[in-house]
Amino acid sequence: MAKKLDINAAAPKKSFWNLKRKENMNGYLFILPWLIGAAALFIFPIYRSLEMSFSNIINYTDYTIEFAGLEHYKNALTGDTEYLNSLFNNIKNMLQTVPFVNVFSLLIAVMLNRKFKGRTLFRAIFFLPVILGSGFAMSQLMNQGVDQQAMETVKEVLLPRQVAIYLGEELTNAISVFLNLISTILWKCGVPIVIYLAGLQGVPSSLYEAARVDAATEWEMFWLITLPMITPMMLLNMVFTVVDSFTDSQNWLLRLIERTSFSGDFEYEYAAAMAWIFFVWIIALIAVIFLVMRPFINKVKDN
Amino acid sequence: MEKTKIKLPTKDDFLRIYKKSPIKGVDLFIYVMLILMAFVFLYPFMHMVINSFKSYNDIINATVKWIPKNFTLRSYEVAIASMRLEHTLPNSLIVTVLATLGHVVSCSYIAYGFARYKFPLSGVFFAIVVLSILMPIQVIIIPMYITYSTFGVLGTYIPLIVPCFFGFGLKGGLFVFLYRQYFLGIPKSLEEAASIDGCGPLKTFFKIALPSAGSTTIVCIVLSLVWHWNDYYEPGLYLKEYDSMLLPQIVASLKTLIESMQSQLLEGAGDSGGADGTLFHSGVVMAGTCFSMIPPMIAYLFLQRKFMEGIERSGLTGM
Repeated sequence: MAKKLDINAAAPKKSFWNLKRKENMNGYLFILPWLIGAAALFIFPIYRSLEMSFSNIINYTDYTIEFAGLEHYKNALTGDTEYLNSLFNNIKNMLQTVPFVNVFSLLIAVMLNRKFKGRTLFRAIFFLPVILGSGFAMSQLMNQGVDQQAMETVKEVLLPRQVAIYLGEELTNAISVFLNLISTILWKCGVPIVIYLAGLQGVPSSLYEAARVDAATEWEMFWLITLPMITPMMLLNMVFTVVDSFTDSQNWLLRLIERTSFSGDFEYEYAAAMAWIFFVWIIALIAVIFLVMRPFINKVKDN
Repeated sequence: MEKTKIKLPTKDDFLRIYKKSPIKGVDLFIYVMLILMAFVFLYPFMHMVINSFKSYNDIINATVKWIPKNFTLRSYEVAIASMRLEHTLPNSLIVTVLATLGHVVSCSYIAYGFARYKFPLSGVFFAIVVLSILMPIQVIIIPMYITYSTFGVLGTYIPLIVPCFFGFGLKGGLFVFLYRQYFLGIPKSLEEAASIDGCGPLKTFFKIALPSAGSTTIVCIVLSLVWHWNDYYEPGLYLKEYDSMLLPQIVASLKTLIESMQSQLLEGAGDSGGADGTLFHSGVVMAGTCFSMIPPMIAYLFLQRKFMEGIERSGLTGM
């Protein structure tokens, strides 16, 4: 009885630590390590890098700098043909790979999502590039065009020589160009396939059952149920494909930036400016992806 | 006369074979497509494994494609002898394990804060998390390199491990994101019950929220382990001494390593690897890579099933 009274007596006392403040405090307690990390490992380097890209380093021992305005940006965008070429190639590559990777990984995921024997084995195989593909030698192999050799063999299966002669040279060439493109694309599909699989598993089966009762075909169900339900995954995958291309060893632009900064003349300022231009392009691309995808995603939520 | 006549298979024959086969219709099509694509996926690995067992003469011989004429372990001998495994293997293991541990502990902890509490600026902070995923490391690597060099930690593993304990490091933001998605998806009631029973926020996290996130943790462990093990961009910038290098770096510098210790390596064995007496050829790099891929392969084989389940159950589906 006495205890109960105590609690009641304590309640009206106004403390600085009201519930809201306590909640805020707990939140900050949890993200405290991140705040420290963000300040030291993200915000500060970003600030320094931006500052550097607008200035010249006078002294390389303590990195005193002198404001130089837009000089490096101007040099990169007007004078440097190597940089401009890699930038345009990069833009072209991304516009090519992002849709193709999405289509192919969705196709593979839909196939893997069906119940058939050996499904676990196939899943393990399709995830293999993620486990091993990011290593040094694998990227070397890809640069040597080993993946293209694989496609040659596949081409012989799909398109025997007799058929190829019958189709004529031009069509055959077009097909082999297409197949070569696929081989480089398939290798980027590891994580997107897994993300799509997760998405497909999340589509409630009651929707399909209802559609089947209404005599919908598999084809209709794919376009009217599966595809609208996994648009969030599509958005995620597109962003992932763009981000994934940074770590790609075939990204010549990033190699150029690295070469400028860490070998030869140590042109930190110029490299920083080049990296920032690249980053602006990436953010612009992601913004476009979001804007294009947004109406489709909202539609699903409204339904 | 009738018997010698060549009988062309008719449509009915094909139908009969098709009816007998256990796989039909869409499934058959799917199997063919999947096997073809799996072949494209597996080809570079097969190429790598086979070349690692080839002798130099077989590698330069274009007619020897699949089965090596002279099956040899010489590439492995050379690679293993020159990779300084007594240093690089423990180095790689320590960095990978510590960095992964850092990622799992810090990212789950931070993500819990983002998922469960709303506090001033929490939206802005989470936007910065997303931005850190989108930011290529090349943009900020120069100031970071300069900072590390002023603190005198270049050449140590601190730049590789410590950021992981603060939710950064190699793709740290992605793990924060994954954990947050998971914590947002689970019902609050369990944690509320715990807090009514007098469980503080920290204890609630460590005793209830984190143990329930097992599948997400598996996903993060596998991805973090593999990415750290394979990474050679940042280690390549910070570690320049051979004895402190990690495995992928050593594989990348096999050529210079082998050339520097050629006489030593030639002493033991009679035959030389290359035609012109050099030991280094692409087979050796393949052997070194195969060797360095054994640990992640083992880890993946053990965690594969749980990993796939984890991906399916992780917060990704709830986006």
